[in-house]
Amino acid sequence: MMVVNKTKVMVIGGGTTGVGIIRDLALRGIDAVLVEQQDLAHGASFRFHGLLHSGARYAVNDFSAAKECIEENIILKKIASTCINNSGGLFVQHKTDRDEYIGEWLRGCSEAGIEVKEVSIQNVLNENPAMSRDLKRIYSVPDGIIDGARLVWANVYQAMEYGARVLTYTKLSGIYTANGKVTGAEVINTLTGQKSNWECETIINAAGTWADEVAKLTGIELNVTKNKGTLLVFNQRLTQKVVNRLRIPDDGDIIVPHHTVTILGTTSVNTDEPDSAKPTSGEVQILLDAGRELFPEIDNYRLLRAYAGVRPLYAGNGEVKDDDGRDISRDFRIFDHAHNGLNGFISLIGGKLTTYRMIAEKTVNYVCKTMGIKKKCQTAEIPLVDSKRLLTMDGKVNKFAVRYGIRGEMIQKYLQQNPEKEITLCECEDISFAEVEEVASWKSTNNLDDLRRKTRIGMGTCQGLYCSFRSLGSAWNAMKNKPQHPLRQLVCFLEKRYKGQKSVLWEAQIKECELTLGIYSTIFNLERVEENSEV
Amino acid sequence: MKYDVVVIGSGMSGMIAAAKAVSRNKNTLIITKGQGILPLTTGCIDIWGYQVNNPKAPALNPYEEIQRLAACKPEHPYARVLDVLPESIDFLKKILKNSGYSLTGSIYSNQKVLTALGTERVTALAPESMVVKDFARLKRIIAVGFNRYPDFFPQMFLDNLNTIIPQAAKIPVLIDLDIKETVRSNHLSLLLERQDILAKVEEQIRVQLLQHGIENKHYDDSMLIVLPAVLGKNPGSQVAKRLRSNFNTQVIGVPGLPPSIPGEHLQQALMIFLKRQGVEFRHNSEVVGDIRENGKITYLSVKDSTAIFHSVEAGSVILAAGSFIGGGLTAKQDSMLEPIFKLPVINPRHVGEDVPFLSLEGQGFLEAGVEVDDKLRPLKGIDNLYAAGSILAHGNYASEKSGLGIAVATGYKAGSLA
Amino acid sequence: MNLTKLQIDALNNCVKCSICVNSCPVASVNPQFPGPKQLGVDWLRLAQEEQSQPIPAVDYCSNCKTCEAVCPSGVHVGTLNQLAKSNLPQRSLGMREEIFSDPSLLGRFIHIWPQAGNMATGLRPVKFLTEKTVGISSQAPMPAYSMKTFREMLLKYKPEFSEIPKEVVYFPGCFTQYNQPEIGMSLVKILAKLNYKVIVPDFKCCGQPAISNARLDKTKKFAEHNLDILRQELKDGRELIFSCPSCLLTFKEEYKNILGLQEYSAFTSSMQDSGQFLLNHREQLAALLRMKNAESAKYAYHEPCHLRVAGQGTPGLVLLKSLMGLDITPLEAGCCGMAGSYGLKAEKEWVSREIGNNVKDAVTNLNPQAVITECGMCSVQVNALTELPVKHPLEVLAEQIKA
Ligand SMILES: Cc1cc2nc3c(=O)[nH]c(=O)nc-3n(C[C@H](O)[C@H](O)[C@H](O)COP(=O)(O)OP(=O)(O)OC[C@H]3O[C@@H](n4cnc5c(N)ncnc54)[C@H](O)[C@@H]3O)c2cc1C
Ligand SMILES: Cc1cc2nc3c(=O)[nH]c(=O)nc-3n(C[C@H](O)[C@H](O)[C@H](O)COP(=O)(O)OP(=O)(O)OC[C@H]3O[C@@H](n4cnc5c(N)ncnc54)[C@H](O)[C@@H]3O)c2cc1C
Ligand code: SF4
Ligand code: SF4
Repeated sequence: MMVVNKTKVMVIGGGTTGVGIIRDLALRGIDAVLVEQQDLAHGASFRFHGLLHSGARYAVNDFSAAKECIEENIILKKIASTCINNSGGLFVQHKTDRDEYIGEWLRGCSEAGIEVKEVSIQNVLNENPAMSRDLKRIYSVPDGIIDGARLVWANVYQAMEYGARVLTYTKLSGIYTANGKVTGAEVINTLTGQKSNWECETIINAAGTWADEVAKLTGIELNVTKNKGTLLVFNQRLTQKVVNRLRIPDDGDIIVPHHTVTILGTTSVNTDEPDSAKPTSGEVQILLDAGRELFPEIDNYRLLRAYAGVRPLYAGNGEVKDDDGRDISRDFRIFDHAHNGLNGFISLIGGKLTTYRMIAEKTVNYVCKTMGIKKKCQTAEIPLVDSKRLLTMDGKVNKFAVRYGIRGEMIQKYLQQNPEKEITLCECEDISFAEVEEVASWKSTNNLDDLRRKTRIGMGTCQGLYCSFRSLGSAWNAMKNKPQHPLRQLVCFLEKRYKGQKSVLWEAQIKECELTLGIYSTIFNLERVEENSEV
Repeated sequence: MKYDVVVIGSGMSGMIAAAKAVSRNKNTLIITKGQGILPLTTGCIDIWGYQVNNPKAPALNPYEEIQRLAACKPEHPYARVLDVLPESIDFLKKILKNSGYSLTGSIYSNQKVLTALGTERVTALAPESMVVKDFARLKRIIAVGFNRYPDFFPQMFLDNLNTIIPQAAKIPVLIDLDIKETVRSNHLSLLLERQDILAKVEEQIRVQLLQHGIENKHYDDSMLIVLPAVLGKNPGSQVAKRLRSNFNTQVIGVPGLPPSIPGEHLQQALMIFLKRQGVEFRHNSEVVGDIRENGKITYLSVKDSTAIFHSVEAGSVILAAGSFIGGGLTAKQDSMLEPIFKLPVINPRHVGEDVPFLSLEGQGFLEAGVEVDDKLRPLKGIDNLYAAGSILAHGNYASEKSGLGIAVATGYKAGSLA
Repeated sequence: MNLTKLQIDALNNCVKCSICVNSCPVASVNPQFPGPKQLGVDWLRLAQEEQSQPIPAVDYCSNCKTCEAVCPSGVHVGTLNQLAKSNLPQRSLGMREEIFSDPSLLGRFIHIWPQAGNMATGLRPVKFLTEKTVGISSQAPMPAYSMKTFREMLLKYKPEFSEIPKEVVYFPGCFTQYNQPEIGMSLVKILAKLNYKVIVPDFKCCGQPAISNARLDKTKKFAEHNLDILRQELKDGRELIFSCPSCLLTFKEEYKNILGLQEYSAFTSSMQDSGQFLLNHREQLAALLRMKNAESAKYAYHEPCHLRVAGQGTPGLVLLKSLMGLDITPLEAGCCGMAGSYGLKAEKEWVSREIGNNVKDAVTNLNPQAVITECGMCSVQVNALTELPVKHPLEVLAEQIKA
């Protein structure tokens, strides 16, 4: 017999859109469950650029997007401060960039309410000596840096506190309907293959790039174009502020100092295979060429890896203009499939991470209306981590609350019980044994890669060389009870870490890969373990 | 001043080359920009791990496998040194012994060594402190971890061991040395040299085993006590021996994450040997180019720590600069190069090709390098330049389990010819 | 924080292999010291994000630079540590750092009445007091001060030259100047035989002690003063030679890498160890040597860390061994632990002594009559550890020169 569970609303997809919706529903007290086919933030919400837009980038081309961005930028800095580094951003005009654009841009910004100030080039160069001397003008804008994985988890932890249920590694595999209305859903556990059924009234399809596949389960066609963006990760900070190119948006325009690294991006190419999107060497070159104009020495900075994310773009109504997709509006849309004759099924497409909260608010407002529920949205007022939990006794910001939201307390507690676990496990990103062991013990952590998204292990210079072994070993008792065999987890983890390095395998990074191979192949003989046992 | 032989690099291949050259009364200089990568290795000399015709099965006799290999892959570095292979390994053992360090095993058979992950690796020569007598006869395995030591996890080790040594009972033990910071391998290995600390460790092991009902009378050869490979900082260390005789059981130290103390032992033992034999060293110096005359390299340009360029006059030159980590090869965005002599680097398999990171065929980039003739000369027309070690193309030390074996054999041959 | 090229390169090149950690003598004996990788490279990278202060334990770094000599990736990790150290908030024991950061100060002071100085630094109650008040260890070996400075001796020395002598500039360093002028005099005498006149301008301390004591401001002052001298003296192809490896390293490397004084690049190719300078004259030198001694004493050689790092090999050892045929065995036991004034500090004396145990054991095993080393402070430490006489290669060489 298949288990039948009940809920009111089911949200498909654990990216920022989905988690924003589940949080909104939970804060309104509406019974809801979110299903995510993999780990949370497995899609574009982690494989993105890390920029909390001020809106300035859209000031000319997409005015409404610009306005939404700045509104949300201000709200998120308040409610999601633990996930944001309020670094500020710069728009820089290279000597080859058109002057005419600037007037238009300044007007757009001012109309959208984006605070723009011209700053002295000399001051900027003093603070960022690596920047090009060929800059004509520089403006500061209220850009920020945002950690997608932290944001996703902080939303989910809070939603769960308010009673929401979140199921990871659970894929929506079927939608039950009766009389033109959604009645339930079939989901499958992607780790065990086990299926189960849910009764629900409404399904919100927030599956991002996969939204068309989800819609197809009911036979509905969604016209979605998939657009791949490639990003480069440098081993260190090249700048302390976000740097944007002041021109009509193009490839390689944005440089974001994300935590310890710098991310340069992005490109824009349509793709048919969102699941296996990977950077090409051509794209790496395009980005380096663009980056070189702002940072002439860019080739002398070490590249750690390259990765690609896929954006879903709505391609209905013949709006597609350009083969590289840049002119398709990225604005978000809500589709109520009542228009297709199915009530209780809603799909979302597009949007930005920066505006995830607003998207959720609009969506839930709409859903409430159709379901006849009258509850006000509170997501703009209630912070993800309240100040009581964020600050320690002596008024300092609690590092664990920043990293793990309201679950920081659990790490604090674990550390109190096991003080010897204060020592560092990952020296590149400064992560302690306590963090890894506690996070590994959570049910939502199914393997090393899940652990990575929550703690940042494997994200630093050595790309998993020490931390994968140490994490597995120190959290062994938790990890060996996960669905995947722990050594299999290790192999998959190393494989994924390698995948991103493959397209930048030169200079120090090829050494790093040789070293990693030396340890896991030469010393641990891990490839034979694979072959010889039932792992 | 002119040196008969100048060796570039102080990894295994460079040091063996120098040892051989100096044993032939050659006035020998090693120029080296950093240490070689011995401190990253397990301290075991891998010669050939798996069967040429069936890479899933361990090679029983590495020497025979290599003969088979040479027949089907004549471009492999081993194929160039078949004539000196057994002799080179004996040479290594002899000079180690001279520094009070010894390895067990031979080129004619492989042995299995356990790792800190609880996996097994196949190797030819291993430090005594890693050798287990007979897996099949083990009844109890005790894995000893240390509080605040980040690199060994007894439970993981023991659980993974279940596939290799299923019959033995497995007990984890945790030692607390009352240190308030991270305990690192080099510090721990130094601590264990102290009698009082070692006694404390022994005591804690006995007490914890007693809680599992294991009394002194149970301590015998069928019991294996496993520690991380930190059994003494110095090459001549007696820690493993002492533990063995005190416990009356088998005791081993298992290799894992770098830095590796047994690897460092090899490094130190060889370095002491060379310096005492009168090999001169120029540390922290990088060879950046050469001067050639009449088909010979006559001078090397050397950059010391502050970028001065010296010329060193050389009778012959041995290039033992390692692969990418060592610095003998560098990879650029679109090419690979050998930075000193600008030798052609061949990359038999394409970089970035779609092979899983860990696989039996191994990663292609490890096979890149310089090609040599039967006398280990990489350049046609220049007959006093030799190359040895992991800078050579066509070997794949990770998947073949052949790293230090190639380094020893090619280094030895280069040192004999130079 | 704006990074220098050296720092950027460190972040680019370090592959986190940990070889440096393994070789760091301080990390081996003191777990409070996380290691060069962690304090140098890891910290630097993290600090870019968090703008955080250096880890206080970096103060334990002795600047021996063993880490730099072993790094396979050419990372100046020891230098990173010194830069981090100088960003630490000033410590309370400022007086001691003040004293140690300029050995010439103490040298000049004690020189007024050396016997009293030596006695005072040797007296128990005085030692106890200095430990309690300024933090100088009462256990540590103190270098003895010479009755006459090198400069005084040099003034009295009037060699006769058969032809017009060539000239070479010599940097004696504080240890030769105040503690062991015989080193410098040995050099001057040998060079006179080779028809060299030795010019010793009014240099200031090289500034290495000030670097280790996190007083880069002082080093900078010294460096600028010394630079002026080099501009005047190093013309007409004159060379600058050193008998102290640390002074050599400071001139060649630290002024550029730590202080950013690129002007020094112009002179580095004229700088070398005095042993190397003599080796370049090996034929002439060989002719000056007395017949080899029949009853040969057995010597051990300790290679100073800074000589190794300077990348010039061990010319002193080569001189004694291949030129003089001395029975001399390299110890190859690593750092002796003294690292300038490091081993004199109350909180570090134990670290220094434990590091030195390696050298002590190696000497015990070899059982030589004397130990030979180039570095003055190494010789103080090795002498204290082994109670054997310790000599500079120049002193040994000078003894063998024909009258
Ligand atoms: C290269 C790139 C750079 C970007 N940079 C920025 C930026 O700097 N700033 C910014 O604000 N925005 C940026 N964006 C946009 C931003 O990343 C996205 O708007 C945002 O992450 C979208 O989140 P999402 O939840 O809609 O989609 P996703 O994060 O992709 O989430 C969809 C989820 O649905 C799951 N799913 C799919 N099918 C099923 C199913 N059948 N059952 C269960 N689960 C399913 C997927 O596994 C996935 O986790 C960028 C996008 C890209 C591609
Ligand atoms: C993590 C790891 C673990 C391993 N474990 C094992 C093991 O357990 N057993 C085994 O048999 N093999 C092992 N290997 C393989 C083995 O270590 C290598 O194949 C072998 O050490 C190569 O030795 P080498 O002398 O050729 O090069 P290296 O050891 O790399 O030495 C190269 C030397 O050249 C110097 N150099 C480079 N360029 C210059 C220059 N321009 N001027 C001056 N000097 C220069 C470097 O400083 C260095 O001293 C392992 C490899 C790795 C990466
Ligand atoms: S500094 Fe050098 S030796 Fe130390 S970890 Fe980095 S690469 Fe290795
Ligand atoms: S300079 Fe010496 S003490 Fe300092 S980190 Fe390097 S090796 Fe250690």
